[in-house]
Amino acid sequence: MSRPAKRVDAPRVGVRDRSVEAGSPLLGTAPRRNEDERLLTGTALFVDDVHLDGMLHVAFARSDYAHGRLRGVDLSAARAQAGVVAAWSAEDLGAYWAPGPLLVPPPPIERLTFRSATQVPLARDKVRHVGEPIAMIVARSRYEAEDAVALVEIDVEPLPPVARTEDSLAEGAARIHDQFDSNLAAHVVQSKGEYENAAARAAARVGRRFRIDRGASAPIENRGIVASWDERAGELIVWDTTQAPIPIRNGLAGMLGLPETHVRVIAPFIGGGFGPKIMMFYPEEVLLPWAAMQLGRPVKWIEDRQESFYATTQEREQIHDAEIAVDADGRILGVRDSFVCDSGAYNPYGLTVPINSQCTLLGQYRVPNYESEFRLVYTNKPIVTPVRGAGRQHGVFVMERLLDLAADELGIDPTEIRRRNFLTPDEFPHDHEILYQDFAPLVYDSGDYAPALDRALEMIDYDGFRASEQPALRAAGRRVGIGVVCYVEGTGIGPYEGARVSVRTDGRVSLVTGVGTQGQGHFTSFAQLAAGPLGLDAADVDVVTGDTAKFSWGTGTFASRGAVVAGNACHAAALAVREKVLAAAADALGAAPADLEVGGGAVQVRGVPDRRMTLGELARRANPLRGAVRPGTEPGLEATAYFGPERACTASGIHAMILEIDPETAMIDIRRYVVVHDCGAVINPMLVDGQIHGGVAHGIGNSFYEELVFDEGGQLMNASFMDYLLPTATDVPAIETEHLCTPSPLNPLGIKGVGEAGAIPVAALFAQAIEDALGDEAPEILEMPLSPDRLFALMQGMARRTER
Amino acid sequence: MVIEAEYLFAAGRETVWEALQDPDVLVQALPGTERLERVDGHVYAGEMVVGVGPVTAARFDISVELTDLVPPEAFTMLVGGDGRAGFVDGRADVRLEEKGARCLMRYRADLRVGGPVAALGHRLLDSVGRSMSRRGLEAVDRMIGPGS
Repeated sequence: MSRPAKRVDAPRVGVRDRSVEAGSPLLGTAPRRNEDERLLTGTALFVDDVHLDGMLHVAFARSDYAHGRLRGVDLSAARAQAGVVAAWSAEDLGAYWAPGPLLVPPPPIERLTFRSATQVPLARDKVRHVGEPIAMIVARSRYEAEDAVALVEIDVEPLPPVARTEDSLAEGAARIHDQFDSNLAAHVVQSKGEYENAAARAAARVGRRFRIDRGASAPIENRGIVASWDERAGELIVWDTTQAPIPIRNGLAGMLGLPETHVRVIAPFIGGGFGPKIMMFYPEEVLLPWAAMQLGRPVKWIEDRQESFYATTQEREQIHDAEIAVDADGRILGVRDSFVCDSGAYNPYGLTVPINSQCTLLGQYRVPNYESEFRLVYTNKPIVTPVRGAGRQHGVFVMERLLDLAADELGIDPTEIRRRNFLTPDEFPHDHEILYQDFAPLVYDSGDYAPALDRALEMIDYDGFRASEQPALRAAGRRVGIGVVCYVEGTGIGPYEGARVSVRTDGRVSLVTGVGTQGQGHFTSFAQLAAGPLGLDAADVDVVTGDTAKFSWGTGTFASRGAVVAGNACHAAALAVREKVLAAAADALGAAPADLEVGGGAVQVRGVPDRRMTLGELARRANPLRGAVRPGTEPGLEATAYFGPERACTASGIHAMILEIDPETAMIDIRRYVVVHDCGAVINPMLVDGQIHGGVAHGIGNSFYEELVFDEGGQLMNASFMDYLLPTATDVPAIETEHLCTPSPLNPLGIKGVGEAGAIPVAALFAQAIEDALGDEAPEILEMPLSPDRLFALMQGMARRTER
Repeated sequence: MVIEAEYLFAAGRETVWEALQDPDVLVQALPGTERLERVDGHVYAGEMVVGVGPVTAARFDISVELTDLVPPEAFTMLVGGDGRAGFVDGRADVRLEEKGARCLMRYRADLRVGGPVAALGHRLLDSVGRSMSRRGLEAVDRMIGPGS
């Protein structure tokens, strides 16, 4: 059958191994991935592989201006061009034109102001960011469509653009949404305790302004949609690079006046999601299906890379004014933070990003007093929605930097100040008394941070580096520094996901779940969860994800929740099928279920090898063509199960890095990178490592290479990979990982999410390590990303100062 | 984008002033201009093809207007260009001074650039802008000659 699975034992910390008790023997193993053969031989279906008879191609005319009154759109020349089948502007959409839905309403926070303005399918009256779609052209080929786009006459009266986040609330700033009296999208205050009282007793109060700038998600596959309307069947099929096929299906059905059963959304293989593909009801997503119905022909739109810099959402811009108060031992008395978060031109995603910042700032620490306030603002830039980390990195950056500054002021080692503030295992579950993005109170479920820090310091030989290696290198004139940072990640949020497991008559198992896959390895990890209880290997399970015709209840793949929520549903469904298998086998073999054992694709009476039946035979018996069945019998060996956690579970980790800076070029060389990670029980350690590696690479990008640069006119200056720098193979080091495990009590398998973790603490780590490398005269690094350019300038500044 | 520079013509100030009112000369001052016609008074319209980095042959519909004329010493040129590769919008404030028998032109151009030409060519906009201005003025200089 298949190769023996490699077992990797994750060291256990604390609670017993409930996962094995729950009957999931493949947990913690790393079999070869089920999806790789298709992916590596080019036979996997991606959206652009879809070719239908009579298919037409779509291109969009987009705004060149960041802010303006749209006075008119003239499509006559575009329509007259050869090859063009149709052209539409906002006016032509008639009653179909409507702003998108608010995807995430604000949590029930007491001190909250919220003013929602969501994106529109095609600009009408105003354009609010460069790249906002103004007209849609459908033609025989993409080339002809783009030629026609050049013929669209757009009459825009430019208005002063609000490009800088800090200017959006200034007196006299141009108003982006005329229905509001300012560019404020939301104002939220969350607090516990009393910061001022606490800070009055402080031995040190350290405050700074921190700034983090925009980055793109840059997936290897851009967005794409194919829509096909079958008039006779009354059915719409949409292939979409979405992380949320089921909500898209539901929304499109509603918008187009179709029953949900007659709309099928397929999220096939997708080359990376990272958050912007969970943004829903993008203009293109809403318009392609409509166009397919209007024209009675399939239509396709594939985003090109330059388009993606405007048309796909982005994230990361925040400015924090934060302060920490500590006692003489470095123990946190309180933190106060006031920040501005950029929403871009619209706000379809609510408060997820800034609330994640607010909550994740608390980190692994005991923070008795906390005041956090933010203003989310509209600007004339592309829309902001979560990108891997989704605001958590900002909280981590602020807290970790404040601790470093406090440590410096008090003369305490940076790892020691963190250790002194860690929550200890007996303090769990730990209620932070503020609300998290899932509307539930921020309560950490489990964690044990000190052993993780110990292990990280051991792996990177922190003491040895400080005592001998660093001094020796410094004496030789080398700029080498070490950084160690800590973070938590609230993962596995609800509301729920579901899965259906069936044993087929050929003995293989089908597993279908509603979430989609964008490279996480679900075809293997979920297969492991289904195979385990049925005594099979992961290779015996065929997994379907992201097809609303096959499974139609659920939300999607986001917020590091796939493994936790869909995974537990897969497991629960497999357990239910196991019960049916045992009952069917007990009946067939004339034995009690307790005397049966399941393994090797069959069920056997324990100790009696010839009283045995394969799963396939049992499946056939369970679906007879003739005869009578007992009342209450369900056909087949199939079960559907759902899982919805009470609230988020708390993953955590430590990242440590040694880096060297070239004193002449300011280029960096990462000599060691260590991750000690706790995501509870691990389904497949190879996949978890993959997630961490990818996250770290993304974090390295956000720290030192990737920055979306806008000018004062709201124009994006680097909408291509020439100038938007992604880390390359030489920029990402070998990453040494180790897993610890504090199982989550919030789900039967004890797992926690890991999808975003790698990206979260990296900016804080870079800041610390670079300051350390530059030595005592180092400038404070309070902004991310840096870049070779900026680091060079900082170092020049240092040199000038030391010369004086 | 702001470009501030100066250029010393061979000819004298009066000659240079007269020449700059002529659309056939102005065409030379804006390299890549394929066509520039007087619409009315000091307003001109035409077409221009520009290359900035990877944007190799961006075609723009341009309009040029000369205002605030103080002969022979100063004027302002308002420029607008719109095309598939984006837009350019701005003004150039020009002063003509006498330097001996020759004309010294000082100018300050303040341009907003948007769309793909800004997004893809940003790194080069400054240098392309300067080199275009210089080439244009050199062409005008050659056309006018030492003048009278």
